[in-house]
Amino acid sequence: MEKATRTLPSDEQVEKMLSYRPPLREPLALVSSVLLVLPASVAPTPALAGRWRLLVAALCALGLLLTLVPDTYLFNLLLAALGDLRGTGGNVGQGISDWIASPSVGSGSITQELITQHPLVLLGLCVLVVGLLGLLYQALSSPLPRQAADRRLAQ
Amino acid sequence: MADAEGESDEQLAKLAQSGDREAFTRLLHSYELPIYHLAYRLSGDAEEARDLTQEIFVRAYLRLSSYDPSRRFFPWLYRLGVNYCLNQQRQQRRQPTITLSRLGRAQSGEDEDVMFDLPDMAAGPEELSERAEQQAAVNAAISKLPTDYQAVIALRYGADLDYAAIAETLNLPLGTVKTRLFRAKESLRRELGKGEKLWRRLPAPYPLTSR
Repeated sequence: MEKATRTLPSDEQVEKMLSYRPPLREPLALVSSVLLVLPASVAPTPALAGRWRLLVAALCALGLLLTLVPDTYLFNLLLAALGDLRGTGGNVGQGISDWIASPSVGSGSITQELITQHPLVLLGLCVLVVGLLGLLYQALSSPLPRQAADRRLAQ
Repeated sequence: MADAEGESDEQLAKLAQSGDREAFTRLLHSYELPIYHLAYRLSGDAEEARDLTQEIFVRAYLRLSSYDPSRRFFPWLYRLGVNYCLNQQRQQRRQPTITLSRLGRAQSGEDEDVMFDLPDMAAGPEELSERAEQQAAVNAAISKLPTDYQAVIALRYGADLDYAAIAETLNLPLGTVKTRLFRAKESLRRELGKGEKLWRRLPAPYPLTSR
């Protein structure tokens, strides 16, 4: 029986075939079609975007720091709330249900209690809210490249 | 690479980042052909490569803020191009589609892949047809390679990068690039050897130059 032989292309022949590059027809049309779909304003420069992100992160961190570190009021309240949820009562500080039943300040308003007894916690909460709003704004205003480009290309 | 006005790609990219569209247009002019050839090697179709080129530049513009001007520009752009083409390829495998331009050509019986795009206008119809067949076989063989190998083949023979530039683009050691290229070519040799012996006749339409 005759042995089947298979001829393979040489390395050079493969390179020759791979070196084929079709010419680009109407290159100017391609350039203008790309420019046509580009947004009018460019994406924010990295320096500006980086600074903005850094500022928001710093605000959130500062807010958390002010809220939880210097004063354990909110932390205790959270622990107490957890205790309430488990039905074991808070181990530290006042339980939420206890606090509602008999608030430590006469009026029973948490805002008043924060203002009078824990101003730093209140400041921390405010900073945290501003930071979180910044984060939300960043998330909502960031471009969605894929969808935006598709929409423009479809037009 | 510096453009006609002497500004480097990195300087142009930095200007483009700050909103200079003219700078981006100059980058586009410098890179449209290598990106087109890269896309052609990864898609196997000239018209599709044109669409991919357009998409790659739009994405590059939208993602310019992620480019670090202290690094070289071309690896960033080529990496983006390779990733985009390979992603498109993966999506097409999951949901096979046919482009409108290809459909039009198929309907009119002209879908010989590269018939329209051959550079040698002096070649006779028989030679053009053979070349088209040859390229169709090459493209089919490339599409069977693992994506890592496709990437190095496209960067070497499409974008015309040397080994060091490919290594920089793909963040790979030089040795890995050489190994992948060698193995990719070996696979192509075996794959092309299975079909008709198309490689025996044709000269290379373009000489290879290194960037």
